[in-house]
Amino acid sequence: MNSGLSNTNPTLVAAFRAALVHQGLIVAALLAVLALAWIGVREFSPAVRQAAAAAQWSQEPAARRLLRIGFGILWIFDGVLQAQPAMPAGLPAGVMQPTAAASPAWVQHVVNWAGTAWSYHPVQAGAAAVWIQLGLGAWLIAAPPGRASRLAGVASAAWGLLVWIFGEAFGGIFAPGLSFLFGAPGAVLFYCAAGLLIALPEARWRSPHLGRQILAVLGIFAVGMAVLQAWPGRGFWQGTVHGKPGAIAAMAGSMSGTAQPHFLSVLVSDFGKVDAGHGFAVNLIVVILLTAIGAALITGTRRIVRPALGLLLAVCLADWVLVEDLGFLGGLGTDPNSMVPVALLAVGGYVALVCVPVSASVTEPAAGPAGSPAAEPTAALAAAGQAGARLVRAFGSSSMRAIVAVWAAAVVLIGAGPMALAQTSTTADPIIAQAIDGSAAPLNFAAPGFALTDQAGRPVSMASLHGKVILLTFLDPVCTSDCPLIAQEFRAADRLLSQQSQHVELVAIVANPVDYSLAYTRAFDNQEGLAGLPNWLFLTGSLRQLQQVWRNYAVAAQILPAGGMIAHSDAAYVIDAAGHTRFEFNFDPGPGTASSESSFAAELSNAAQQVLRLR
Amino acid sequence: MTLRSALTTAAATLTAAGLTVSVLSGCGSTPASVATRQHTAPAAALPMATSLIAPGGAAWAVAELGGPSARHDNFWELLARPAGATAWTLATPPGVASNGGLILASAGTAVIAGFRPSQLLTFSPLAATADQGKSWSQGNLVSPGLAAVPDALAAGPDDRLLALTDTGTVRLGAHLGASWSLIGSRNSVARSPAGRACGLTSLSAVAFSSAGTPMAGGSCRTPGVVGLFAATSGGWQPTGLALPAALGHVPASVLGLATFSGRTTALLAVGHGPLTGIVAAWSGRTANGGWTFSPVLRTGTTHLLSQSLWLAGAVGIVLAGSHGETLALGPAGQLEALTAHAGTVSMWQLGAGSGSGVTPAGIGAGPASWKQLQTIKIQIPYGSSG
Repeated sequence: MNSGLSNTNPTLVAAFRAALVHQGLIVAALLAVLALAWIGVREFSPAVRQAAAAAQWSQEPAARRLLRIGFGILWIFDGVLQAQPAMPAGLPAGVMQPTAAASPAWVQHVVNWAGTAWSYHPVQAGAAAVWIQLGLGAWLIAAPPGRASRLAGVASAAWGLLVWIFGEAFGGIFAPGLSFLFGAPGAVLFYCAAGLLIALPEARWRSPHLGRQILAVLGIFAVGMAVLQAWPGRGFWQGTVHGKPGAIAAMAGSMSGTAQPHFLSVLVSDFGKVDAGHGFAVNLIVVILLTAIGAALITGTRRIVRPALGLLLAVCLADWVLVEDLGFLGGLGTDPNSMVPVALLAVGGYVALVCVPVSASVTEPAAGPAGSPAAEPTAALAAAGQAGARLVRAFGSSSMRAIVAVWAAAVVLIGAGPMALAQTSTTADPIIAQAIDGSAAPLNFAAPGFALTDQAGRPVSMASLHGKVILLTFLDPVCTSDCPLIAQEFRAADRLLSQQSQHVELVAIVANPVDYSLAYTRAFDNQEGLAGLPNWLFLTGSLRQLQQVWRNYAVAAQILPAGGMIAHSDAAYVIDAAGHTRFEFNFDPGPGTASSESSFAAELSNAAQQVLRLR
Repeated sequence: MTLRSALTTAAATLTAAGLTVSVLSGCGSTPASVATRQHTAPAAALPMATSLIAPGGAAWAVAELGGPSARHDNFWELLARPAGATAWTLATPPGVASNGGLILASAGTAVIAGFRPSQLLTFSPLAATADQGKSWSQGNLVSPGLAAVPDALAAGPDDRLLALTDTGTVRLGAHLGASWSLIGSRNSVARSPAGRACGLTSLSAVAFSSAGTPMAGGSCRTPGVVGLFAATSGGWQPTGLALPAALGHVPASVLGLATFSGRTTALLAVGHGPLTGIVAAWSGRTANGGWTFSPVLRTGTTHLLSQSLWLAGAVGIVLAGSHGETLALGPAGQLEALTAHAGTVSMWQLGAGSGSGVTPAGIGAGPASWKQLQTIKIQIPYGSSG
């Protein structure tokens, strides 16, 4: 599912940073435009100013505000984490793949699909994740009560669901070893829950009933997790199993190995040792605590819930530090894991239970009522027409929070737009090929000639190909790694050229001084499914002829002793219809993943199209 | 010095525990009984380390070197000892990555080496030498690639080759593999009356009979039946090889197959799990001469590290739990062992009076003394195929 590139590939990291900077400039410019427009409308339209002054805001229930701002901050934090340089190349292989590894095949298939989509456009995907999450966070925080913030809740839940499915492999709920301590059922599922709660009509928040329901659901969840934790045979009761750390100790041991401050690593490691020595006692405490907390939350009785909430917060804090190891360290952390959102949701439920607002009036600021001073059209508004006037008036009379919320929603779209556009392309971003082999410089010199024999035994020369654009490479027909990949990249480039491929010849010349017979070129064609491709030519000749061509193209083809494959250059050339070399690519296919293959094909077909336009 | 102590001295990093070197030879022995609880064919996980003696007297050995952890950093090497010489030399044919393995076939005085496919390669390039590995002629190939068994390639009269491929097909090659024709497959053999009687589950070796008839051997579900078939004009026929009565209740698999001097040797695994044994069978010198068997060598669950079928029907196997060793026969018929680790191959010779005469089993367990003959350092082209 991954691109196979290093997380720190400098080309990819630079492209990611550039994308963030460019999109950041757009985001900043948008904010500036909105702010100036808002100030301008207010400044130059007294009516709008009066309408704004007249607008009244309802008091938002404290619990809702807590969830909205709390999860808004979490999204912003997650967005900042997504901006880590390792994310574009690292997320599929370092986060998605390991998360799904223990899940059933169908879950892996789903995650693999998303990972492949990401790895085809790592820069756009990485930047999209940053802006979507920053935008969602800002939207939640800024949105005034009413539809704007409810919509933010829906957007938050929707994005959270996508992340939960594809990024967290359904939170691992289909994998063995599910445990509250390890973050089950996925941190982002709590974001989704919070988003849905924020999306509820505000009237629902004006009764303690909702708080009781939230706490009851959390209580049932805690009891369920306690049962799972206590279930025999799942490895939680043993500190060590056959001399190896048990499940909890192993998790702590693994987390302590993450790059992090030393004191934290020691703390987590020490807890792992404690669990290794007293696994039964540790798990017993966890089971008892979860059961007690769950039972207490289910009651919905304030005096019982309060200490249970305190206990839950203590458990969350301990687990967050000692087992989850804060969740976001190590360069590929995407969120602070589950304990923070669980705690936030529980506190939100408690506040909803105990702090019920008295006022129930909701007034959303919009255009002022007809006949009011604010409704009197100014000269400017009248000129703009009735509809435009209403829009301007609504805009100008909106609060600053509403303007920021509009901007934040736009930030989400700015992030999602390029990614959605990229997904419409079936080919991978050429940046992957460039990240592997660098860019090709445009050239213009006469390509060395050749006179060889194709796989059907027919003579082929540079002159006989005059009038066609030639994509040329050198392949070893018994190569076990690079050459089959390069051949597939040529084939994929041919598909991308579509109708234009009739003007293009895909030419490979044998690069093996030992195995260069027609039998080998034919066997290679059959192996790679190239035998039926009408514009594919795999050329060979006598050793002397081949050596001459290799010299002319500065291609090395060296015999390695002791069972080594022939060492030869991986290069590709784009030669125009007049026989001039226009591009030369270093064409080492790198990791040979689907995305790198597609990227090389895109790079090659793009170059071919450029040269075709020269005809 | 025993083989084990010699290896320790040489710091050859041999981690094998309980290495057993066995040589089976002679004819007409009565097989010992091997019990079994299940009538299933033994697993056919065959080592590709092997050796052969070409009719001219040159010895050849295939050994696996390189890094044991990454499959494509393992390189299979071909070593040759020219007729009359005492020293081995590296003779791996050039031009093709040998990571998948090398399969040898003796074609008169010539030797043919087939490269097993590895990574993205799906066919097997062939190389032939008539000058004991000094030079190789290449140009032919087998497609699909050769199966991962030591006797996946055999040479017969009239420059014919016989190949067992990765896909379970049997192909007959003319002109040393310049052209190939499909003569059977696991399915077609299994569907034949002989295949049905055997309950054929897989094919594991090919050879030409003394009459030049293509043969294929495999694993049978039916107890007492040996899956050795001959491709005749009437289809795949049984060759008449059946386990003796004492082994009539156990399943059998063909591990190796070779014909030298008009006589076919079949190396068989019999029994199952801890009761597995190995037995060699030799055809008669005439068509109706019947088969004779060695006693059963009880191997249990210990797997083979190498198997070699030599001239005159001698068979050498190495059992162990670790790194690869190959047995070979020295110029005077004395037993030699090749050990391989990383980029070093060492040759050892069994001292006189230490188990030569080679009746079944156990020369490694006794006071046999091995002396080191030679060490070859090979520059392994790590990473060249990755």
